[in-house]
Amino acid sequence: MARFQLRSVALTITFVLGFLMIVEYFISFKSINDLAANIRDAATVIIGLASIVGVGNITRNHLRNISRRGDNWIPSIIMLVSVWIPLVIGLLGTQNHPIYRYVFVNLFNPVGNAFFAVLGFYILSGAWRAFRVKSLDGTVMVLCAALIFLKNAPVAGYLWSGFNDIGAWIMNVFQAAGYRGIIIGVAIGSITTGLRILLGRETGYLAERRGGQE
Amino acid sequence: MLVGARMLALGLLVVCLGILTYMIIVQGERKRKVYSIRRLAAMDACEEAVGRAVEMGRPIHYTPGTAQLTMAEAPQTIAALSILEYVARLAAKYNARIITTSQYPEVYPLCVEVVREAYLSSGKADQFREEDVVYLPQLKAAAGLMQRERVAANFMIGAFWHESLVLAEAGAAAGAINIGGVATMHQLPFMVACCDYCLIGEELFAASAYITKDPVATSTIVGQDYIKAVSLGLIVLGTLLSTVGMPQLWNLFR
Repeated sequence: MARFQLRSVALTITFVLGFLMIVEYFISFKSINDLAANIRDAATVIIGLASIVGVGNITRNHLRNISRRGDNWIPSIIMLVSVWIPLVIGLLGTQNHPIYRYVFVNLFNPVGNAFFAVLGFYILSGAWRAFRVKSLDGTVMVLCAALIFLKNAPVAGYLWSGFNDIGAWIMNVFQAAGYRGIIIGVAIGSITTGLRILLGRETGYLAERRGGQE
Repeated sequence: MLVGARMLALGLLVVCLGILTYMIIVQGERKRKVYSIRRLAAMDACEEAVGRAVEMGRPIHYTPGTAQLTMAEAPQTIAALSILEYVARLAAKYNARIITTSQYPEVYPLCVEVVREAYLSSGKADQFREEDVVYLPQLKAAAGLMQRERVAANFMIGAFWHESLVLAEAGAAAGAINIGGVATMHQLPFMVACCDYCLIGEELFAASAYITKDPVATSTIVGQDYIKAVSLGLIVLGTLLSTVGMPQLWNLFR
């Protein structure tokens, strides 16, 4: 089938299913609600199958690195072992298998927690770079950050209760107004992008071949 | 048959879709009118970032965020893939190497195809390296990848959670120019603070129209402005009515 026809089929399916899911949200009709639930289940299954593509990519890239003795080829071996051993054990012995649980509780969780802990240091280094009094905007940002910091620091409230009021005023007036303005724009932008996708007018993600735009 | 509690949402959606459909059909399709969109500094900086990577002989890193295609944030991922196409075409044009990372397996094949087609369209199919499109089950791992590859430009465009700060700081530590774009509210402050350029909120959705200058796409951006005007009118009206002791409109939207 020609590429153009395949694209038309994909866009037609997108339109029909997308429209159905919108309609289903607003009506209570058993057969349509059941159909939409089945489509959601099918999407979950398709995404599960897509995991095979992801695991295949990891395996291929790291096997290639090992065979070429490229940079960091020893970590590549660790990576493959970390992917495949829990995967095989999980498939053969379910998620309750003791080895699977051991790997998850004693390896995966601590590594994940360590990464979250590192986030604190990244916040510090990010703040160090961002809060520089070089312009009017930067000065306002530093002042606001300092006042919010003082609002949340217990010792500042002990020294002067006004820090709490000023911090709350910044959060409830300036921050809330800006936040709501942005979120209204984001919501409308999401609807617009959704409509463009349903009508087949948002095509960048379809990897269309075209020339001379940049 | 209609769900009573969702009638107001349905009414507002019909109004929004009506305005957008009018703009698409009448202004975009029939009149082929190309509206001008205000300058987006982050999009203008893309070429500069790619040029910097070429001059330094280092690669570019691009990630379309950490949202699945079944999530409410999926439009951000779709918008990010459209921008990926543009950045990959720039990379192909200037012979820069682009490394793309994605966290979810259903987004990964889309990234492969978008980058591949960008190289094919530029007549440089031989320069496309599939191994440079990487699936990372935890996108945080891209921080190490950026350090190892010493990237010169770091594009983080799409929906992000805590990874935004990790990736932005890793990019800065590697000496890269950071270009971000996010519409997830809780990550927006981090992106604005840590990136050299940032697409804020709805700018992310306007970026593909800004790049392509397609009449239909630019018409929908103008349609968005009309919807915002209607929203603003409702807010002002609700405030005035509440002030004079008539909170019915305010209660309707609570």
